[in-house]
Amino acid sequence: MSYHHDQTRSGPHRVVVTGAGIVTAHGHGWTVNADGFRAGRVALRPVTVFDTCRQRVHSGGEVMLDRELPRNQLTSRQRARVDRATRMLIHAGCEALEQSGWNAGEDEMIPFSLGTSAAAMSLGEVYFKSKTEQPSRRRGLASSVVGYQPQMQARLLSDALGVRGPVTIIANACASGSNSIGHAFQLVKWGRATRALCGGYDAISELVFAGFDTLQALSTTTPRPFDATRDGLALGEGAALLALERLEDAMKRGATILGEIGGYGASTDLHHLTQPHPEGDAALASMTRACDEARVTPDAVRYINAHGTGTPLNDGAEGKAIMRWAGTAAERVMVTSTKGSVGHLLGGAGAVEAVICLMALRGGWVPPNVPVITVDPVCGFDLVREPRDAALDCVLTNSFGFGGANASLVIKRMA
Amino acid sequence: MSMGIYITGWGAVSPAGWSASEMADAVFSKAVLPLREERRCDGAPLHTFRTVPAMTAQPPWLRHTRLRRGSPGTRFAVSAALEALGDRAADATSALGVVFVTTNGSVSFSRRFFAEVIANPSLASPILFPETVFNAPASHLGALLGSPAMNYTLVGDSAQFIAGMDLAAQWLDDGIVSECLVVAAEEIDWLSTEALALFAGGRIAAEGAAAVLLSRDESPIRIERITDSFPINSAQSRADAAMRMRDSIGDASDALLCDSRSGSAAWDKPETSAWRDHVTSLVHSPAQWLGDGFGASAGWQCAMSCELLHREIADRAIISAVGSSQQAMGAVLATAL
Repeated sequence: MSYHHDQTRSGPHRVVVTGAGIVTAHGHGWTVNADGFRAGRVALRPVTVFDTCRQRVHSGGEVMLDRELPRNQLTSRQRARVDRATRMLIHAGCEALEQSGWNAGEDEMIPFSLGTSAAAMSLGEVYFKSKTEQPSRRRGLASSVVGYQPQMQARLLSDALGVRGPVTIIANACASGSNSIGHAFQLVKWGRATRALCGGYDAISELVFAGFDTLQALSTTTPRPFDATRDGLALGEGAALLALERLEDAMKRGATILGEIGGYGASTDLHHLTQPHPEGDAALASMTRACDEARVTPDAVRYINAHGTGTPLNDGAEGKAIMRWAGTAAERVMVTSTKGSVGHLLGGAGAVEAVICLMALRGGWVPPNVPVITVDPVCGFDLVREPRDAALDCVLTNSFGFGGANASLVIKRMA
Repeated sequence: MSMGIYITGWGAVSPAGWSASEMADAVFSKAVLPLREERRCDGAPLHTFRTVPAMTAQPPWLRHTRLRRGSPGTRFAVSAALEALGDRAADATSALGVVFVTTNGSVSFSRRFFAEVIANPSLASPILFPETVFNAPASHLGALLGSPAMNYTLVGDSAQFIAGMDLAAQWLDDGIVSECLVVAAEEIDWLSTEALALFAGGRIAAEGAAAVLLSRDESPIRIERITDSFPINSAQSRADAAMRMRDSIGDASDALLCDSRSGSAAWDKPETSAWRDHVTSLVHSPAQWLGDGFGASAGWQCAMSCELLHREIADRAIISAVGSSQQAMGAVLATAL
């Protein structure tokens, strides 16, 4: 439903998650990821998708893409065009759709809201290398150009699932995945759609890997978010998709409800293109807005999946923001970053971490923050470093990106 | 009933110059703007394009810390946005939202950075890399205007600007922002111009930016409606999407049509077919005179429509945007009497 000057919006509707799909370095699907995150396993490994011999860093959260695509509706010609990132996207999409119980092929237009920061960068790299090494060559380049565009990845996903609808691609750097969920949440909440598919994805690429390396943002040791001696992040890759719908519709059809999106907050950090405000002002704003919308106070939020990249500046600012936000409730709130396990998934991070929150809510556990040797003094909160069981009703997840793109989501357990 | 949403300002940077009025004059008079032809190296194809003319004087905003290293696209975006804001730029509120739209992003910086990576990653510039991120222009714009509010970057085809306007209208409806800039920008680089040349039709690449400022404040130009996004996929061809978009607009008689046709008969066929009944004298096609502005194209159409309504050439304008691979989308603007 698009803008019309005399239309009225409906709602607010309560918005629930009835399907989730996930691919990370832990593997494909809910079960293997839930096991990995719950145990705090580290799934970083040597990067093989391109030659890292001239980089300072050689490992990351690379996904072992050793599985065939799940059953889907792509033609053989389309299947030949599926790049690495889209492959992960389709795996996650098929799992989310199956779990939701939605019937593919219905006439209803279901909006897609996807977040990415690099899209099909590897195809762009192929195109560039071809153009510079063989300037006169034309053959085969058109497909790289077409495939490089993120809307084509979304289109392949749509065709694979047999779900049709308008596509919105949000490229807000590392907050993209959370923004895409927040956008879909607002569409459903205010009656602009009855359901939506949303999430984020990114694949490791040479340009982005080298870019973070030039900024010396990659850890040359072990990425350890919230450690006092942390030295950077590990890049990861993966995808996560969520099926959102109105609570009343989910209940009517007897769907399994994985959780409720309670609130969404976004803000822009004006401090610097790549560095957060040292006191975490914008992070505080996005957390506060998400909680205000969800009508929860910090003492109701038991767990925060922090952005926690493992870079010195990011974790310090986020730690301060959490302390300011939580106030007297700080020492009771459990906080972890899961980026030590699978790396930083950039445009996919927010969506993957939202699914981790759903797993934690459903399973009654907190994924440990691994590995930490010396806790940063900024952590006046309960930084969970070992696997822990905990009954959770309300959690919050943060995603902060280049350009000051900040987003927070509040997710609740359905009783 | 929803309160109206108005376009309170607009701006453009194009091969015709650094303002919306220069762009509208060029399109309205069907001016033939200069073309550039280049062959980047032996064996490479000759590529033809239109660039934005050099600035005649350096504006004060270029001295802002954030903009010293900005890509050409960032500079175009800022210029168009400031034109759209007009006097409001000086006291932009903390609830000013930004929706930035692009297809190619900061492609010239991405190309330069990746060339450095291939040559020697240890010498690749850490200054260039952050500017290659899609949302760098939107971030710089937010910083320049001092607004910590909602700030999204949407990536998509040439119709995406209309979706950006729809998102801005949604934010205004939901009370998340008090005003919202919708901005699109593209910059020329051989990487994208040679890519465009791989496809039939002889379209000419162009660069520039466009911006509109959406507000609840009553203003001479009102958004009457924005159509649904009609996706292009295996179940719906580009021609079908264009036709459905046209049908959803309904009565278009006497309205000025600002469409996305580029002058390439083959490429334009779906849109030509969709609007075959429209009176030819009421049609303007900015891309035919400016070139293919990728993500900025529909922005130019909007700014052009605003200019023509402002000049009282029509009291109703239809924007028809048929993208390459994502969607067809339209909008109807009207003078608010």
